[in-house]
Amino acid sequence: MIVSEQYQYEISAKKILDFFGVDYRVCPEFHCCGEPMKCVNVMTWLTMASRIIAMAERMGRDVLTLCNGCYLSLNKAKKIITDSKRRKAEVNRILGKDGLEFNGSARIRHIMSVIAEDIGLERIRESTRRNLRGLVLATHYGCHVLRPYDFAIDDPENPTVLEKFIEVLGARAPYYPERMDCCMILFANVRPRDADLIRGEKLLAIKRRGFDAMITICPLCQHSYETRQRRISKLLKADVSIPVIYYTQLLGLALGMSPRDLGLHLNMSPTRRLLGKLGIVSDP
Amino acid sequence: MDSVGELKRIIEWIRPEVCFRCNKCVSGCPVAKKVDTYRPNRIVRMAYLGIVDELLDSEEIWLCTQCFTCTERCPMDVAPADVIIALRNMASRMGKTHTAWVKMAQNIIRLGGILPEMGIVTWDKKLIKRADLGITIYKRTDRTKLRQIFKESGMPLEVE
Repeated sequence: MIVSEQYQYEISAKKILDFFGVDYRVCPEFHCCGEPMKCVNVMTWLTMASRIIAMAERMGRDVLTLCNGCYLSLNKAKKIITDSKRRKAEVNRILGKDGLEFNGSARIRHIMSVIAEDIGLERIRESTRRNLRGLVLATHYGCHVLRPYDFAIDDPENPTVLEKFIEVLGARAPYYPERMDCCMILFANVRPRDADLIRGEKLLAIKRRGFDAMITICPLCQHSYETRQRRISKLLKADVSIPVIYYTQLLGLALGMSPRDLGLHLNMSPTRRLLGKLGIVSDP
Repeated sequence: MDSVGELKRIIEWIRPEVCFRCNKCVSGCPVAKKVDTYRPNRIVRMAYLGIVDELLDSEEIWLCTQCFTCTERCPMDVAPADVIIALRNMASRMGKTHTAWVKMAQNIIRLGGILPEMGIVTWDKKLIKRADLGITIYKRTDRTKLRQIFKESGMPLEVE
Protein backbone atom coordinates (compact mmCIF):
# COMPACT_ATOMS: atom_id res chain seq x y z
CA MET A 1 0.00 0.00 0.00
CA ILE A 2 1.50 3.22 -1.11
CA VAL A 3 1.80 6.46 0.83
CA SER A 4 -1.21 8.41 -0.34
CA GLU A 5 -0.56 10.66 -3.34
CA GLN A 6 2.35 8.52 -4.55
CA TYR A 7 0.11 6.83 -7.08
CA GLN A 8 2.66 7.23 -9.89
CA TYR A 9 4.93 4.68 -8.23
CA GLU A 10 2.28 1.98 -8.40
CA ILE A 11 1.39 2.95 -11.97
CA SER A 12 4.98 2.95 -13.25
CA ALA A 13 5.98 -0.20 -11.35
CA LYS A 14 3.10 -2.14 -12.89
CA LYS A 15 4.08 -0.90 -16.34
CA ILE A 16 7.62 -2.22 -15.84
CA LEU A 17 6.50 -5.55 -14.40
CA ASP A 18 3.99 -6.03 -17.22
CA PHE A 19 6.57 -5.14 -19.87
CA PHE A 20 8.99 -7.78 -18.64
CA GLY A 21 6.29 -10.37 -17.95
CA VAL A 22 6.86 -10.65 -14.21
CA ASP A 23 4.10 -12.67 -12.58
CA TYR A 24 2.49 -10.57 -9.84
CA ARG A 25 -0.90 -10.10 -8.28
CA VAL A 26 -2.33 -6.93 -6.73
CA CYS A 27 -4.06 -7.57 -3.39
CA PRO A 28 -6.85 -5.21 -2.32
CA GLU A 29 -6.94 -6.96 1.06
CA PHE A 30 -3.42 -5.79 1.94
CA HIS A 31 -3.12 -3.16 4.66
CA CYS A 32 -0.40 -1.18 6.44
CA CYS A 33 2.74 -3.26 7.15
CA GLY A 34 2.64 -2.15 10.77
CA GLU A 35 6.01 -0.33 10.86
CA PRO A 36 4.55 2.90 12.30
CA MET A 37 3.07 0.90 15.19
CA LYS A 38 6.43 -0.68 16.05
CA CYS A 39 7.14 2.46 18.09
CA VAL A 40 3.97 2.02 20.13
CA ASN A 41 3.69 -1.75 20.60
CA VAL A 42 6.08 -4.26 19.04
CA MET A 43 3.54 -7.11 19.14
CA THR A 44 1.02 -5.06 17.16
CA TRP A 45 3.61 -4.41 14.44
CA LEU A 46 4.59 -8.08 14.32
CA THR A 47 0.97 -9.16 14.02
CA MET A 48 0.17 -6.69 11.25
CA ALA A 49 3.31 -7.62 9.33
CA SER A 50 2.81 -11.36 9.71
CA ARG A 51 -0.78 -10.99 8.53
CA ILE A 52 0.46 -9.65 5.19
CA ILE A 53 3.01 -12.47 4.96
CA ALA A 54 0.39 -15.08 5.91
CA MET A 55 -1.96 -13.80 3.18
CA ALA A 56 0.83 -14.11 0.62
CA GLU A 57 1.68 -17.61 1.83
CA ARG A 58 -1.97 -18.59 1.46
CA MET A 59 -1.67 -17.58 -2.22
CA GLY A 60 1.59 -19.50 -2.56
CA ARG A 61 3.44 -16.32 -3.45
CA ASP A 62 6.26 -14.09 -2.20
CA VAL A 63 5.60 -10.50 -1.16
CA LEU A 64 6.67 -7.64 -3.41
CA THR A 65 7.09 -4.25 -1.76
CA LEU A 66 7.59 -0.93 -3.52
CA CYS A 67 8.43 0.77 -0.23
CA ASN A 68 11.71 0.55 1.70
CA GLY A 69 9.88 0.85 5.02
CA CYS A 70 7.59 -2.06 4.23
CA TYR A 71 10.56 -4.04 2.92
CA LEU A 72 12.44 -3.83 6.21
CA SER A 73 9.31 -4.12 8.33
CA LEU A 74 8.18 -7.37 6.74
CA ASN A 75 11.67 -8.87 6.56
CA LYS A 76 12.52 -8.03 10.15
CA ALA A 77 9.13 -9.19 11.44
CA LYS A 78 9.52 -12.46 9.56
CA LYS A 79 12.94 -13.08 11.11
CA ILE A 80 11.86 -12.13 14.64
CA ILE A 81 8.79 -14.36 14.54
CA THR A 82 10.61 -17.27 12.90
CA ASP A 83 13.40 -17.10 15.52
CA SER A 84 11.07 -17.02 18.53
CA LYS A 85 8.70 -19.87 19.39
CA ARG A 86 6.91 -17.61 21.83
CA ARG A 87 6.29 -14.85 19.33
CA LYS A 88 5.28 -17.25 16.58
CA ALA A 89 2.73 -18.93 18.83
CA GLU A 90 1.32 -15.58 19.92
CA VAL A 91 1.11 -14.20 16.39
CA ASN A 92 -0.55 -17.35 15.06
CA ARG A 93 -3.01 -17.33 17.94
CA ILE A 94 -4.23 -13.93 16.78
CA LEU A 95 -4.05 -14.68 13.05
CA GLY A 96 -5.86 -17.96 13.60
CA LYS A 97 -8.99 -16.09 14.59
CA ASP A 98 -9.13 -14.93 10.98
CA GLY A 99 -8.24 -18.31 9.50
CA LEU A 100 -4.67 -17.25 8.68
CA GLU A 101 -1.35 -18.80 9.62
CA PHE A 102 2.22 -17.48 9.39
CA ASN A 103 4.78 -20.14 8.50
CA GLY A 104 7.69 -17.99 7.27
CA SER A 105 8.07 -19.48 3.80
CA ALA A 106 7.31 -16.37 1.73
CA ARG A 107 10.26 -14.24 0.61
CA ILE A 108 10.00 -10.48 0.90
CA ARG A 109 11.24 -8.76 -2.27
CA HIS A 110 11.80 -5.10 -3.03
CA ILE A 111 11.03 -3.94 -6.57
CA MET A 112 14.66 -2.87 -7.05
CA SER A 113 15.95 -6.37 -6.41
CA VAL A 114 13.24 -7.84 -8.65
CA ILE A 115 14.51 -5.51 -11.38
CA ALA A 116 18.15 -6.29 -10.60
CA GLU A 117 17.87 -10.07 -10.12
CA ASP A 118 14.76 -11.29 -11.92
CA ILE A 119 14.89 -8.93 -14.91
CA GLY A 120 18.59 -8.07 -15.04
CA LEU A 121 20.90 -5.73 -16.95
CA GLU A 122 20.97 -7.66 -20.22
CA ARG A 123 17.21 -7.74 -20.77
CA ILE A 124 17.02 -4.05 -19.96
CA ARG A 125 19.89 -3.22 -22.31
CA GLU A 126 18.18 -5.12 -25.13
CA SER A 127 14.85 -3.42 -24.49
CA THR A 128 15.84 0.26 -24.29
CA ARG A 129 14.33 2.35 -27.06
CA ARG A 130 15.32 5.79 -25.82
CA ASN A 131 18.92 6.33 -24.76
CA LEU A 132 19.20 8.64 -21.75
CA ARG A 133 22.67 9.85 -22.73
CA GLY A 134 23.45 13.28 -21.37
CA LEU A 135 21.47 12.90 -18.16
CA VAL A 136 23.35 13.17 -14.87
CA LEU A 137 21.34 11.65 -12.06
CA ALA A 138 21.61 11.66 -8.25
CA THR A 139 20.78 8.30 -6.73
CA HIS A 140 18.89 8.14 -3.45
CA TYR A 141 18.61 4.62 -2.04
CA GLY A 142 16.99 5.46 1.26
CA CYS A 143 17.92 3.66 4.46
CA HIS A 144 15.84 0.55 4.98
CA VAL A 145 16.94 -1.33 1.87
CA LEU A 146 20.56 -1.05 3.02
CA ARG A 147 20.49 -1.31 6.83
CA PRO A 148 20.54 -3.56 8.81
CA TYR A 149 22.85 -5.63 6.65
CA ASP A 150 20.85 -8.81 7.31
CA PHE A 151 18.22 -7.72 4.82
CA ALA A 152 20.20 -5.34 2.62
CA ILE A 153 19.74 -5.41 -1.15
CA ASP A 154 23.29 -4.04 -1.55
CA ASP A 155 26.41 -2.90 0.40
CA PRO A 156 25.26 -0.55 3.20
CA GLU A 157 28.26 1.78 3.00
CA ASN A 158 28.77 1.78 -0.76
CA PRO A 159 25.85 0.43 -2.77
CA THR A 160 26.10 0.37 -6.56
CA VAL A 161 23.00 -1.38 -7.92
CA LEU A 162 21.07 1.81 -8.72
CA GLU A 163 24.11 3.32 -10.43
CA LYS A 164 24.54 0.22 -12.59
CA PHE A 165 20.89 0.19 -13.56
CA ILE A 166 20.99 3.87 -14.47
CA GLU A 167 24.20 3.55 -16.50
CA VAL A 168 22.75 0.70 -18.55
CA LEU A 169 20.15 3.23 -19.76
CA GLY A 170 22.87 5.57 -21.02
CA ALA A 171 22.74 8.13 -18.24
CA ARG A 172 25.43 8.86 -15.67
CA ALA A 173 25.09 8.47 -11.91
CA PRO A 174 28.24 9.89 -10.33
CA TYR A 175 29.05 9.77 -6.62
CA TYR A 176 28.18 12.79 -4.47
CA PRO A 177 28.96 13.27 -0.74
CA GLU A 178 25.31 13.63 0.31
CA ARG A 179 24.33 10.38 -1.40
CA MET A 180 23.66 8.37 1.76
CA ASP A 181 21.77 11.13 3.60
CA CYS A 182 18.48 9.98 5.13
CA CYS A 183 15.17 11.57 4.06
CA MET A 184 14.26 12.04 7.76
CA ILE A 185 10.66 10.94 7.32
CA LEU A 186 10.18 9.75 10.92
CA PHE A 187 12.05 12.71 12.37
CA ALA A 188 9.68 14.96 10.44
CA ASN A 189 6.80 13.77 12.65
CA VAL A 190 8.45 15.49 15.62
CA ARG A 191 10.52 18.31 14.11
CA PRO A 192 9.02 19.12 10.69
CA ARG A 193 10.97 22.32 10.22
CA ASP A 194 14.35 20.76 11.04
CA ALA A 195 13.53 17.82 8.79
CA ASP A 196 12.82 20.21 5.93
CA LEU A 197 16.11 22.01 6.58
CA ILE A 198 18.01 18.73 6.38
CA ARG A 199 16.17 17.68 3.22
CA GLY A 200 16.76 21.10 1.72
CA GLU A 201 20.50 20.79 2.26
CA LYS A 202 20.55 17.61 0.21
CA LEU A 203 18.34 19.04 -2.55
CA LEU A 204 20.41 22.21 -2.75
CA ALA A 205 23.65 20.25 -2.88
CA ILE A 206 22.29 18.08 -5.69
CA LYS A 207 21.16 21.13 -7.60
CA ARG A 208 24.45 22.98 -7.13
CA ARG A 209 26.45 19.96 -8.24
CA GLY A 210 24.64 20.13 -11.56
CA PHE A 211 22.49 17.00 -11.42
CA ASP A 212 19.45 16.85 -13.71
CA ALA A 213 17.26 14.87 -11.33
CA MET A 214 17.13 12.72 -8.20
CA ILE A 215 16.14 9.06 -8.49
CA THR A 216 14.31 7.31 -5.65
CA ILE A 217 13.09 3.80 -4.86
CA CYS A 218 10.83 4.50 -1.90
CA PRO A 219 7.55 6.48 -1.68
CA LEU A 220 8.48 7.95 1.70
CA CYS A 221 11.79 9.29 0.34
CA GLN A 222 10.02 10.56 -2.77
CA HIS A 223 7.39 12.24 -0.61
CA SER A 224 10.12 13.86 1.50
CA TYR A 225 12.06 15.34 -1.38
CA GLU A 226 9.41 16.04 -3.94
CA THR A 227 6.20 17.23 -2.32
CA ARG A 228 7.69 20.02 -0.22
CA GLN A 229 10.11 21.77 -2.57
CA ARG A 230 8.30 25.10 -2.51
CA ARG A 231 8.07 25.11 1.27
CA ILE A 232 11.73 24.10 1.60
CA SER A 233 12.82 26.78 -0.86
CA LYS A 234 11.12 29.42 1.28
CA LEU A 235 12.73 28.02 4.42
CA LEU A 236 16.24 28.00 2.97
CA LYS A 237 15.72 31.20 1.00
CA ALA A 238 17.12 29.36 -2.00
CA ASP A 239 15.49 27.60 -4.93
CA VAL A 240 15.70 23.85 -4.39
CA SER A 241 13.36 22.85 -7.18
CA ILE A 242 14.67 19.80 -9.02
CA PRO A 243 12.94 16.87 -10.71
CA VAL A 244 12.63 13.83 -8.42
CA ILE A 245 11.36 10.64 -10.05
CA TYR A 246 11.16 6.96 -9.27
CA TYR A 247 13.59 4.53 -10.90
CA THR A 248 10.58 2.73 -12.42
CA GLN A 249 9.58 5.98 -14.12
CA LEU A 250 13.12 6.50 -15.46
CA LEU A 251 13.27 2.94 -16.72
CA GLY A 252 9.88 3.35 -18.37
CA LEU A 253 11.10 6.44 -20.23
CA ALA A 254 14.12 4.50 -21.48
CA LEU A 255 11.81 1.72 -22.65
CA GLY A 256 9.95 4.26 -24.76
CA MET A 257 6.83 4.61 -22.64
CA SER A 258 4.92 7.89 -22.51
CA PRO A 259 5.19 10.25 -19.52
CA ARG A 260 1.47 9.98 -18.84
CA ASP A 261 1.59 6.17 -18.78
CA LEU A 262 4.32 6.41 -16.15
CA GLY A 263 2.36 8.85 -14.01
CA LEU A 264 4.86 11.66 -14.57
CA HIS A 265 1.96 14.12 -14.62
CA LEU A 266 1.32 13.14 -10.99
CA ASN A 267 4.81 14.03 -9.75
CA MET A 268 5.00 17.27 -7.84
CA SER A 269 8.51 18.30 -8.82
CA PRO A 270 9.37 20.00 -12.15
CA THR A 271 9.56 16.79 -14.19
CA ARG A 272 8.87 18.61 -17.46
CA ARG A 273 12.36 20.08 -17.11
CA LEU A 274 13.74 16.56 -17.25
CA LEU A 275 11.52 15.53 -20.14
CA GLY A 276 12.61 18.62 -22.02
CA LYS A 277 16.23 17.48 -21.74
CA LEU A 278 15.23 14.20 -23.33
CA GLY A 279 13.40 15.99 -26.09
CA ILE A 280 10.06 14.66 -24.92
CA VAL A 281 7.18 17.07 -25.26
CA SER A 282 4.90 16.41 -22.32
CA ASP A 283 1.49 15.54 -23.62
CA PRO A 284 -1.51 17.21 -22.00
CA MET B 1 14.52 0.05 38.47
CA ASP B 2 15.69 -2.84 36.36
CA SER B 3 15.21 -0.85 33.21
CA VAL B 4 17.47 -3.07 31.14
CA GLY B 5 15.48 -6.14 32.10
CA GLU B 6 12.22 -4.47 31.27
CA LEU B 7 13.51 -3.15 27.95
CA LYS B 8 14.82 -6.60 27.02
CA ARG B 9 11.38 -8.04 27.65
CA ILE B 10 10.13 -5.73 24.89
CA ILE B 11 13.04 -6.30 22.48
CA GLU B 12 15.21 -9.20 23.53
CA TRP B 13 18.35 -8.63 21.37
CA ILE B 14 19.35 -5.14 22.62
CA ARG B 15 22.65 -4.94 24.57
CA PRO B 16 22.90 -1.55 26.32
CA GLU B 17 25.20 -3.08 28.96
CA VAL B 18 28.16 -3.57 26.57
CA CYS B 19 28.35 -0.08 25.06
CA PHE B 20 31.85 1.37 25.57
CA ARG B 21 31.24 4.80 24.05
CA CYS B 22 33.19 4.41 20.82
CA ASN B 23 30.87 7.03 19.24
CA LYS B 24 30.53 5.22 15.90
CA CYS B 25 26.76 5.55 16.33
CA VAL B 26 27.06 9.30 16.90
CA SER B 27 29.28 9.80 13.86
CA GLY B 28 26.63 8.44 11.50
CA CYS B 29 23.49 9.77 13.18
CA PRO B 30 21.63 12.37 11.06
CA VAL B 31 19.65 13.60 14.08
CA ALA B 32 22.83 14.09 16.14
CA LYS B 33 24.18 16.20 13.28
CA LYS B 34 21.26 18.60 13.59
CA VAL B 35 20.33 18.42 17.28
CA ASP B 36 23.33 19.21 19.51
CA THR B 37 22.04 17.44 22.60
CA TYR B 38 20.92 14.24 20.89
CA ARG B 39 23.33 11.31 21.07
CA PRO B 40 22.24 7.69 20.56
CA ASN B 41 24.81 6.41 23.05
CA ARG B 42 23.64 8.88 25.68
CA ILE B 43 20.18 7.37 25.50
CA VAL B 44 21.68 3.87 25.65
CA ARG B 45 23.79 4.75 28.72
CA MET B 46 20.81 6.31 30.52
CA ALA B 47 18.70 3.23 29.78
CA TYR B 48 21.48 1.02 31.15
CA LEU B 49 21.87 3.09 34.32
CA GLY B 50 18.12 3.06 34.97
CA ILE B 51 17.72 6.82 34.45
CA VAL B 52 14.66 6.30 32.31
CA ASP B 53 11.99 8.50 33.87
CA GLU B 54 13.27 11.63 32.21
CA LEU B 55 13.69 9.76 28.90
CA LEU B 56 10.13 8.47 28.96
CA ASP B 57 8.82 12.00 29.42
CA SER B 58 11.07 13.51 26.80
CA GLU B 59 10.69 14.31 23.14
CA GLU B 60 14.21 12.95 22.77
CA ILE B 61 13.34 9.29 22.38
CA TRP B 62 10.93 10.22 19.57
CA LEU B 63 13.57 12.05 17.51
CA CYS B 64 15.31 8.95 16.16
CA THR B 65 14.51 8.56 12.48
CA GLN B 66 15.24 4.80 12.49
CA CYS B 67 17.84 5.00 9.74
CA PHE B 68 19.80 2.16 11.45
CA THR B 69 23.21 3.69 10.74
CA CYS B 70 24.01 3.37 14.46
CA THR B 71 22.90 -0.25 14.62
CA GLU B 72 24.85 -1.11 11.48
CA ARG B 73 28.10 0.53 12.66
CA CYS B 74 28.03 -0.55 16.33
CA PRO B 75 30.91 -2.96 17.00
CA MET B 76 29.17 -4.46 20.04
CA ASP B 77 25.68 -5.22 18.69
CA VAL B 78 24.06 -2.80 21.12
CA ALA B 79 21.33 -1.93 18.58
CA PRO B 80 20.70 1.67 19.74
CA ALA B 81 17.80 2.14 17.34
CA ASP B 82 16.06 -0.83 18.95
CA VAL B 83 16.85 0.42 22.49
CA ILE B 84 14.95 3.54 21.45
CA ILE B 85 12.02 1.48 20.13
CA ALA B 86 11.86 -0.38 23.45
CA LEU B 87 11.85 2.96 25.30
CA ARG B 88 9.05 4.22 23.03
CA ASN B 89 7.02 1.09 23.79
CA MET B 90 7.62 1.64 27.51
CA ALA B 91 6.49 5.27 27.26
CA SER B 92 3.38 4.20 25.36
CA ARG B 93 2.44 1.76 28.12
CA MET B 94 2.47 4.75 30.45
CA GLY B 95 0.19 6.71 28.17
CA LYS B 96 3.01 8.86 26.82
CA THR B 97 2.84 8.01 23.12
CA HIS B 98 3.89 10.98 20.99
CA THR B 99 0.85 12.67 19.40
CA ALA B 100 2.05 12.00 15.86
CA TRP B 101 1.92 8.26 16.51
CA VAL B 102 -1.48 8.48 18.15
CA LYS B 103 -2.68 10.14 14.95
CA MET B 104 -1.09 7.41 12.82
CA ALA B 105 -2.79 4.71 14.87
CA GLN B 106 -6.15 6.45 14.45
CA ASN B 107 -5.62 6.71 10.69
CA ILE B 108 -4.69 3.05 10.41
CA ILE B 109 -7.97 2.04 12.03
CA ARG B 110 -10.12 4.63 10.26
CA LEU B 111 -8.48 4.67 6.84
CA GLY B 112 -6.40 1.50 6.61
CA GLY B 113 -3.14 3.43 6.34
CA ILE B 114 -1.23 6.22 8.07
CA LEU B 115 -2.30 8.95 5.67
CA PRO B 116 -5.60 9.73 3.95
CA GLU B 117 -5.97 9.23 0.20
CA MET B 118 -5.04 12.58 -1.26
CA GLY B 119 -5.92 14.24 -4.50
CA ILE B 120 -3.21 15.65 -6.71
CA VAL B 121 -3.35 18.73 -8.91
CA THR B 122 -1.65 17.74 -12.17
CA TRP B 123 0.16 19.75 -14.84
CA ASP B 124 -3.07 20.57 -16.59
CA LYS B 125 -4.60 21.89 -13.38
CA LYS B 126 -6.93 18.92 -12.90
CA LEU B 127 -7.58 17.42 -9.49
CA ILE B 128 -7.02 13.69 -9.70
CA LYS B 129 -7.96 11.21 -7.02
CA ARG B 130 -6.82 7.63 -6.64
CA ALA B 131 -10.21 6.45 -7.84
CA ASP B 132 -9.72 8.31 -11.15
CA LEU B 133 -6.53 6.45 -11.95
CA GLY B 134 -7.88 2.93 -12.30
CA ILE B 135 -5.51 1.48 -9.73
CA THR B 136 -6.37 -0.79 -6.83
CA ILE B 137 -8.88 0.47 -4.32
CA TYR B 138 -8.06 -1.07 -0.96
CA LYS B 139 -10.85 -2.78 0.87
CA ARG B 140 -12.09 -0.91 3.88
CA THR B 141 -13.48 -4.04 5.58
CA ASP B 142 -9.98 -4.71 6.86
CA ARG B 143 -10.53 -1.97 9.39
CA THR B 144 -12.42 -4.29 11.72
CA LYS B 145 -9.65 -6.87 11.37
CA LEU B 146 -7.04 -4.24 12.25
CA ARG B 147 -9.10 -3.13 15.22
CA GLN B 148 -9.16 -6.72 16.40
CA ILE B 149 -5.39 -7.04 15.90
CA PHE B 150 -4.79 -3.85 17.90
CA LYS B 151 -6.80 -5.23 20.79
CA GLU B 152 -5.48 -8.80 20.72
CA SER B 153 -1.83 -7.75 20.44
CA GLY B 154 -2.02 -5.54 23.52
CA MET B 155 -2.01 -2.12 21.89
CA PRO B 156 -1.88 0.38 24.77
CA LEU B 157 -3.66 3.13 22.83
CA GLU B 158 -7.41 3.56 22.90
CA VAL B 159 -8.42 4.02 19.27
CA GLU B 160 -12.03 4.28 18.17
